[in-house]
Amino acid sequence: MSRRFRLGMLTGFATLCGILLTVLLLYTFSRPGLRTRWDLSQTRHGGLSERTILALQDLPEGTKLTAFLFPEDDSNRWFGSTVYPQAFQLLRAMVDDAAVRSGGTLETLILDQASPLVAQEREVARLDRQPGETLILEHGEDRRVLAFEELFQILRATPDGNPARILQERVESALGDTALALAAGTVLKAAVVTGYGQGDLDDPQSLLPLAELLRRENWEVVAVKGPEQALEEQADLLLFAGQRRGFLPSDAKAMEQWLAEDRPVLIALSPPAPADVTTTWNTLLEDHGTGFGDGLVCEPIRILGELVTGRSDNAQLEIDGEQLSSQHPITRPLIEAKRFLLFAGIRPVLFESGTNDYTQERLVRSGTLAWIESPHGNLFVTDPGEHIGVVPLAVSSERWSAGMEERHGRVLALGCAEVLKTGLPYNREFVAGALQWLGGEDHRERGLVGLGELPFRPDRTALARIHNISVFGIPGVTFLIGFWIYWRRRR
Amino acid sequence: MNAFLALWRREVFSLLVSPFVFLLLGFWFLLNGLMFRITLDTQAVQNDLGLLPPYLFGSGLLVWLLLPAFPPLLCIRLFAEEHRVGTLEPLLTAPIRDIAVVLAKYLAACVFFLFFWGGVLLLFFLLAWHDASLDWARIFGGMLGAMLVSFLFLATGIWASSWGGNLVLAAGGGAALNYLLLFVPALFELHEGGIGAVARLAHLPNFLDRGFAAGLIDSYALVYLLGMSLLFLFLTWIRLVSRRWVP
Repeated sequence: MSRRFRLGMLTGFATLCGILLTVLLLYTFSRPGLRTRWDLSQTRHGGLSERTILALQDLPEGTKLTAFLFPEDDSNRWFGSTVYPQAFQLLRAMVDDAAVRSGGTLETLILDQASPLVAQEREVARLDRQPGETLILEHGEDRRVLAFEELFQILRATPDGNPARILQERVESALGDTALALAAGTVLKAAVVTGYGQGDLDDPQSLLPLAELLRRENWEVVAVKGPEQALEEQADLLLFAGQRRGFLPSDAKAMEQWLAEDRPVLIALSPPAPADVTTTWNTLLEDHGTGFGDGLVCEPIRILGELVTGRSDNAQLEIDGEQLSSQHPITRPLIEAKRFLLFAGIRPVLFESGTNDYTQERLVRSGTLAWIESPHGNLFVTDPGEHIGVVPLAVSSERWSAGMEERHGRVLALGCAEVLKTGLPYNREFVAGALQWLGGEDHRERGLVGLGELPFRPDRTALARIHNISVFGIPGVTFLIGFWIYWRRRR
Repeated sequence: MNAFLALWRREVFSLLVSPFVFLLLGFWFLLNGLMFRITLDTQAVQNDLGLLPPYLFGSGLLVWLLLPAFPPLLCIRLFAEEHRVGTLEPLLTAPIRDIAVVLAKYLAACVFFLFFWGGVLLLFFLLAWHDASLDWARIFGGMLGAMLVSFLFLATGIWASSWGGNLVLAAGGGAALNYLLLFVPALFELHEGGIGAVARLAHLPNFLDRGFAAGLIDSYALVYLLGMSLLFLFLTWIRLVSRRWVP
């Protein structure tokens, strides 16, 4: 064996050792347990929150998350809209982060227009995917689906050329909720009252949106005739989305028992609720320091800089951050994420001092120019004798010593039942937060993000200047320096 | 150490006074400027400048076409040119360790490549000067990722440059390697099983697009980019050492 051959072998062996060592290093550091991610983004929401990471790590081995990133709604692409690029960029980062942070339990797959057609068709057929479904989390036969509309709230394009844009996104929190739902062994039971004119749980114009939200928030939903049946069902939460008739004696007694046992309840009563219903509730909630007032809360609306009354729009209240409580776990994340609420047809809620056992918080209030419309005056204008000023619209109440006991005696009184029905899409985060709080899970991170709009509208001169500097200025100076060096060296 | 610093300084200086390198830099700025102009003219980017870092540093043509080609061009003069004009032998017989030669040349190229990215960063400052609202964390994250990828491509380039005195082979070989590093994982990304898993772990644009340019720094991406750079530097060193054994 020649010396040259031996040295050649030695070179080959050293090369092989280097490659093997690198592969070993990469294999070791690719293990989820050893991977770390740092989120440097401005909003600090580029990645997943601790809550979602823990939920993902609790998922059973073999769970798969498939993302379908297809721009399926053409109107979201008109006029140079950024809806899909922005949404897909965020989803890619989140899905990737989920794969890394799950500790190896989660397998992820991202399919987009660039993916092979065979792979797209295989996954669509396997998951029986319907248009609009964006994220599918599955383990065995158990599947949770998140549609694009659930992840992003879109302001639609207008015919006058304004592109669609993302108003709000909740990818992180939705992913966390879905993972929790898939991983959870037990779920809480929510009883939705349907026996007093509230509507049907299967009706899209009535209680179906609420039932769907409850299921997504990991509640088991049961329809009950009244509080008596809710007690029999051993429900964990009772919801009244409106009430058209007074309680039967058995239900009134059961409701008293429900409240005495400090079980959570959400009561939303719209202005059409009859007087005997509000009277009953005011008696029941006296200790909690809340109840329901009469009338319809209206506000002047601003049109072309002037405050206008006398229109039905006056009963549609846009609630901004200043009108929300900055202290309460339901509303604080909404303020931080710059969310607004939309309540249409709302009655005043009482915010009084109850017994010393309970503490109250005014969650939502009207603006300072609001008035309470009396049924006897002119429609949608302020009449003499009508209350003008700030009106409480949602009030929460809970035991002072909450946190020590299993039950907190949490009550949420809301002056509008439509918030839980057709108005739910506009107030989804508020309702979801309320459900978490009532279920005793207010410590959970909500993961709400308000998207900062970053429009850049330079005038023609500025744009021309940017173009000239980037295309001619910087390269031109570099070429000149190169030419100068060449010229100097030639001399 | 002194010999290393002296060689590093010499390499940086020789890059700074090379008209060819400035020609390269000028073309890089010109192509980047054009790409920046085209991207900025799109309504989507004007509506949300947050999309600019991922376009420029992740999923755009800069990463897929320009980035793999330029580092090897910068590297051809580091070893291949020296080999061609016959100055490599005196350097390797000088009182300096081979590894120091490799590192000095590589770090000089890395430092000079900062000028390449500095020009791109100037474009963002230009926008900020025109009152554009920018997410600097994403921009600097994207730049960090793009710089680390360039350092990896410089390492492959320097290895290709060490193969011999053929300049075309040095530039073409380095660029080919870089394109392989980019495209092969992208081709197998969606495969089931082990091949797909390995491809996803080596997918450079995904590191940039879903990680760095989104402001998310992943420890694995750092280890991959630095580890692969070290591997190619090690291979360069092996090549230099073996020249004494197997010319």
